[in-house]
Amino acid sequence: MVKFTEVHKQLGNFRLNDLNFELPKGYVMGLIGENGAGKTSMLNLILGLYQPDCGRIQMFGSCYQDDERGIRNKIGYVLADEDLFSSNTKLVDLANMYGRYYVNYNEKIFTDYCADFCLDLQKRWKQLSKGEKLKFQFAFALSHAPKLLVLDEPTANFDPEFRELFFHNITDFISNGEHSVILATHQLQDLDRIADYITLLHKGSLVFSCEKELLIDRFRLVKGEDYKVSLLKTERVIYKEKGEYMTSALVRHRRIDTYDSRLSVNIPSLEEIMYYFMKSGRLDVKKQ
Amino acid sequence: MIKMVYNDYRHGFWEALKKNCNFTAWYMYIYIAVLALIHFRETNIMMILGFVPMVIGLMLARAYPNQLSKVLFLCPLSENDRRVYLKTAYWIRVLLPVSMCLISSTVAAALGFIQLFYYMEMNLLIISYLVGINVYCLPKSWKMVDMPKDQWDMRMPYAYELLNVFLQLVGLIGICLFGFSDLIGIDEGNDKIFLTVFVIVEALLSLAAVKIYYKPVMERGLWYESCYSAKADW
Repeated sequence: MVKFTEVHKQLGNFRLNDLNFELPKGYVMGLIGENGAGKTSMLNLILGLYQPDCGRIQMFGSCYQDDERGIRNKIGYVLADEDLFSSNTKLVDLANMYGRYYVNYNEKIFTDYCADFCLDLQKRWKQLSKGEKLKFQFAFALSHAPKLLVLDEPTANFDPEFRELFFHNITDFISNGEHSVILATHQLQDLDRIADYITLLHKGSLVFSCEKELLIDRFRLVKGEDYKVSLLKTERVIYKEKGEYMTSALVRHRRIDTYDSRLSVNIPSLEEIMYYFMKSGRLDVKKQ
Repeated sequence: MIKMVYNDYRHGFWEALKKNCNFTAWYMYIYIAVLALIHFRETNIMMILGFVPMVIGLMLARAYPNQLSKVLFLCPLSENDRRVYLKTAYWIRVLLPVSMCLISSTVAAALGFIQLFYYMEMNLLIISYLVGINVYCLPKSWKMVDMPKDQWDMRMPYAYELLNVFLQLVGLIGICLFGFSDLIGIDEGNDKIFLTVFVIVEALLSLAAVKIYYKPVMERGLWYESCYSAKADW
């Protein structure tokens, strides 16, 4: 569905380097990385707002140059851009104004989603809160039957109730196996919940892009007394953090590896994997 | 396409005006002040008839630069659709005030309120001004200066804008002087020569601006990167 092949992009002093990844249909990809890693720039490449300096971006099997209109018809987006729409316009007018560009836009679906999301269609864009603006974009995105949803940091501004509804809708969206989602976020617990693929960016470079289960299988979070943790082979330890009562370490794991019975060995969350990697400065999982 | 542009412009009118028109506000006040000064001149009616569409045209040109909004870049439009949109938008911004000016001045001329000389001079001035002012890029930031050397010609619209402002100031001062001609003893016949020279310079300037910049400015408006960002969005 989305395929990046050796994509490079220079943006002022910042450079997106050698991006290679593929997202098949039917999956959710989590895009993670520290602030300034290049997540939004990468989303802009996916959305066709930026053209790559070199390399090739394929969307649904074709390039923007070949079938721009066709590709854009298949993409829905939720962007963290407060000025995306004209501020003084009612939501119903906004949806109809931009909906008519989309082949599959359905006003009834849009109004149904707005009702579900408790959005007042007579409100103007400028009267909406941050969360409501994202809800509107989400409703609009779903109303033109896209095949790919591109979501930039939506969940941080949702209330707990809507967050559940949001995940429910995402799950529904991908359930037929024909749709995919790319979700850029710092809320890694969200990705633990729904992501199938994880792509980590660091300073414009792609550290890894792989299946979440594969990633989690490769690592273990080991906790215990400091001297016990220190006995682990140093080449296996990604990063060790000494606490007041115990030491914890993220270690590379293979099925044949064994651990001291007095150590607590757990499967790390994505947040823990990212935290320990950031601390270690060894963002080179491809080689791990 | 006209309906598409009209809808976009209509919905975003106040916002675009607030966002982009601060720079034009002082023009209006100066013109209004000047109008009061020139009320006893023969050009009075033509000035009013010309002034209103000129200010409207200037405001439209400022409010709606030659670029698409971000959301339109995300909409399913092909490169050609975007090109047609930009061109349509340009001509709407030009033709709306031009037709206002032509209709009102023609009616005034037919009723004998203005002489043929002033009718022709002022209409030529306003048309050339509106055609030219809609071509230059919006100088909201100097980011275009950071463009690669092969695109440096995009800086030139700034020069056009500066020349245009200079020309308008000369025009305003000239009009003020002739407004007070009775008091300071300028021969009334000289204002026709002044106006003719002024209109010819403005028309040539606008013609040059359109000839040089129309194509690259329209081309620039087709791409999100050249319209919005020269640096990274994180």
